[in-house]
Amino acid sequence: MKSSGMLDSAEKERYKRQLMLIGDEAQSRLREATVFIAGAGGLGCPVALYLAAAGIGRIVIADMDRVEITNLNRQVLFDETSIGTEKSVAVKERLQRLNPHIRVEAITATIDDSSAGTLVGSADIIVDATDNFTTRYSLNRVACRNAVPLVHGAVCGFDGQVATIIPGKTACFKCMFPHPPPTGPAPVIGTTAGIIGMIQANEVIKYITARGSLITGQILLWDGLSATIEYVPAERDPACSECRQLR
Amino acid sequence: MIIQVKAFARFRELFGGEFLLTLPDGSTTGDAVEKIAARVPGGKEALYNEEGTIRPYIIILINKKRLSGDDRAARSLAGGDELALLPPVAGG
Ligand SMILES: [Zn+2]
Repeated sequence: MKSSGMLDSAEKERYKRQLMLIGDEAQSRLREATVFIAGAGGLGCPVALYLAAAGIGRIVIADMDRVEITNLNRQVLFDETSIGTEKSVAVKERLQRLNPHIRVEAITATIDDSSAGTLVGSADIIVDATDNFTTRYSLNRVACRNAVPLVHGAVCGFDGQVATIIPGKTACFKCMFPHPPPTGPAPVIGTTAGIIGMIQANEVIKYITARGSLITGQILLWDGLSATIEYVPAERDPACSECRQLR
Repeated sequence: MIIQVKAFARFRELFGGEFLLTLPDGSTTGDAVEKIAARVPGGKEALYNEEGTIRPYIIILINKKRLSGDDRAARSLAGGDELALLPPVAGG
């Protein structure tokens, strides 16, 4: 991680239009932050792209898969030349071309209960861009243990959901979703993943720069067919197996 | 009595987004879900598992308050209540 301090002139030029909005201090905070992105698929691609552009100083992205042609309707960081490449590596290469001021680390690995803690490391915030609840429960466990926020996102068809979890303060992922829905290849239109990924990336930026309010204690539901957003409340479960001891 | 039903995501496509449901006085959430399941082909499979209980991953809210445990089927309803059914999505 770069040491904290003044932005150099190249950074001031690159981030000019957002420095007008958030200022140098917030930009330095983005530069000092480490974000762990779990998954380099339909959600992970837009999340990583916009966080890199915004100047997150260290992005760690983990995915076990290689790029396939069927990914290209929604995984917007890849193109036909990426097919067969490890997704995390393809993302890293693309992001480093976009923004050489940041550091991107690619990990090709399965995220499960035995690996999640090591993979997440000392990240300041975790982005759930995975495609199954088993992995999400593993990430939630690490988020609760490390007391770092987890930004959950999921999509199916034209529908999506987002929730930000602040362990010990708000409902955790297990409080929200105590039972996993069935998994399988979900039908998805790229725009749904793009919109949900954007909302997740926006949560990360707000959290790191301490601006606005986060989607906590509730689940944001996006309905792409009517272009509407609704919220359903999500309270902490006092008997939650993952977060009941946290204050 | 008449209650308002709100269905999200996949359930919106299947059952309709918002509709009114007429039930006998004294009905429970379980009675309401049973009636909703019978509205369309495939409704029962969407809402119930093989053991005949409401699929545990479906989030059920009454007047924006989530039901858990036995309340999911046994909570008694009053006219004007809003019952929401939400199947979480899982893709990424
Ligand atoms: Zn919890």
